[in-house]
Amino acid sequence: MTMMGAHAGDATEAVPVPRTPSRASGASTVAGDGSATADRVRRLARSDDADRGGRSLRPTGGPAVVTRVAVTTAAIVALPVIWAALAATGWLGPGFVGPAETVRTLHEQWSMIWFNASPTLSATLTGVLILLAITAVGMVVVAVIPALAAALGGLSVVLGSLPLIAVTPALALVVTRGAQLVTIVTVLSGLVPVAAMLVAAAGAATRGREDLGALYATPRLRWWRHVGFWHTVPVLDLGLRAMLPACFVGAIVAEWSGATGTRGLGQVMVNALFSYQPALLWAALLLAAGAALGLFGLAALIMMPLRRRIR
Amino acid sequence: MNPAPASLSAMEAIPAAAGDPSPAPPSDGLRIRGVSYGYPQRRGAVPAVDDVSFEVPRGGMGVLVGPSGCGKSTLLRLVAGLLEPDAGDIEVGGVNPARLRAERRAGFAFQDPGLLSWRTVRRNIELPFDLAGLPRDRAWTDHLLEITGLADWADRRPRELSGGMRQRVALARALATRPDVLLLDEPFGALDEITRSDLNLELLRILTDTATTCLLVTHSVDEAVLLADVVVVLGRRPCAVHAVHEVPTPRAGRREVRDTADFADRCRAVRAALEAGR
Repeated sequence: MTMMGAHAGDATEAVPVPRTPSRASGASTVAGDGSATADRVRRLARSDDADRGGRSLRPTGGPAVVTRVAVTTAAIVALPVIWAALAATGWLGPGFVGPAETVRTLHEQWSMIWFNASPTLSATLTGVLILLAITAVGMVVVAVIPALAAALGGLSVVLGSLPLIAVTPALALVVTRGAQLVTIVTVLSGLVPVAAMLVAAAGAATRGREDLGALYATPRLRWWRHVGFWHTVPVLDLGLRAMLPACFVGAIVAEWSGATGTRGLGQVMVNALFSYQPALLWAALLLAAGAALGLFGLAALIMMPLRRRIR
Repeated sequence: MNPAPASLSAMEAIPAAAGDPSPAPPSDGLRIRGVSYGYPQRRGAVPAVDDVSFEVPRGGMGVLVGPSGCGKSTLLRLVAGLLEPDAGDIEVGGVNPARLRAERRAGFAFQDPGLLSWRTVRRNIELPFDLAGLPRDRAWTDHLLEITGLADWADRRPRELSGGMRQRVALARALATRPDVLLLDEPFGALDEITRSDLNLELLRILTDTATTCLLVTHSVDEAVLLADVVVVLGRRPCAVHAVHEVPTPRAGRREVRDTADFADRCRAVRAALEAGR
């Protein structure tokens, strides 16, 4: 028998494998081949970690949440800091107003700005209510007739391709300028997230869960009430968070492009631009950003109980 | 090498019935006769099940084994009435799947337990009542919670449960409407060996308690032989019955039989049939 043969014979013997392969002992015998391979994989993984700066994935939990909140807060704080730094350099000219002057202007002209912002917010909220009604009805219709989801998908693509800034003047030819026209444009601007929401909602449930409905001969609406709707909650959550700020921006764009000739935040922006009042323009912009963020937060707050329930 | 096992005689290999068209008396259990099914496609049907026939006695356990993608799950869906066979007939206790479904007399547990995260364990088990529009049977739900060992977890959410516990909830949910037939599509496929083994024995106990006829799909030959009264070996897609093995070991003795040479021989015979059918 050759040496090779002897080794081969040894390899087939049942050799006890250590329960915990010791890396320190360098167990790389024939019997420990599996653990040696595992060791190699571990070493490769470690070197891979080192290549990425030595950081490896950590389990999610408390510290991860704290880190996420800290990073988000830092990013939000960083924005005004960058803004102030850029304004201080003066590279972008006198039209680039810093945060301190913007806040001062907002404070000084608050009554005028708020007088104009309130109809914008009012149109936004009216548009949002209309869109919520459309969403509720749409969800039930899509739940009963899932084939409609494809049509909604196509509709959302068409609506998404419409430039609101061009649509508003065209609509002004058929609808009287004012709050009504602003609301219509607001609804149009929020329809894309709504349609996307409905399309995603139609395909949210897995086949196994649909089979459960089929197994118990469940009418579609009942199935949707007990199962389907709850699957759409994450989609609904994201959709609402996208829809509310989109409506607000839609209202401003409508006012900007001539939907109203009297009041509105968009109107303030246009006037500030053409009368060269950069601080006022930036103040209106800051208020718009704050309101959009607030609406985003409001949507998150509204959805929180449902989000918690499906977690 | 082991000598040829005398105990193999205990497991009878019955040649697969080839769609005998002669009428048969109604069966108490599950009877599948000459069933064929093809998935409709634009360029004609893609055959998935071809002339399958076998029977599982009332209260018995039939186990389907076969290569991946051979059509085992399709066969379960046919029995559940979720698909309609192109040919042949299926009966559970003399009732066809369409009526079985309409009367909510079939229970189905999928490989993915598919529990609803927004419902507690109890409410997940009661889901079939809600879907079927039936009043909830609290006493029966309590009994199911008891026999699946989940009574202390009734008010917990699925995210708080282990994989094995989730499968038990899915099993209890499938039994909620007191079905005549329980269909299990690889319910323990994703579990570790020990949990799986425990659940196998638990399943046998539950089925004995509830006297439910069961049809299970598995890829594990050991699991098939341990659980089955009838092992149905299917060939490549479209699935046709390659062999049917009866396992006459009484359920009460299944736990002890697992480590015997007799059990190993039975597994070997099923494995050989599987190999031959590929």
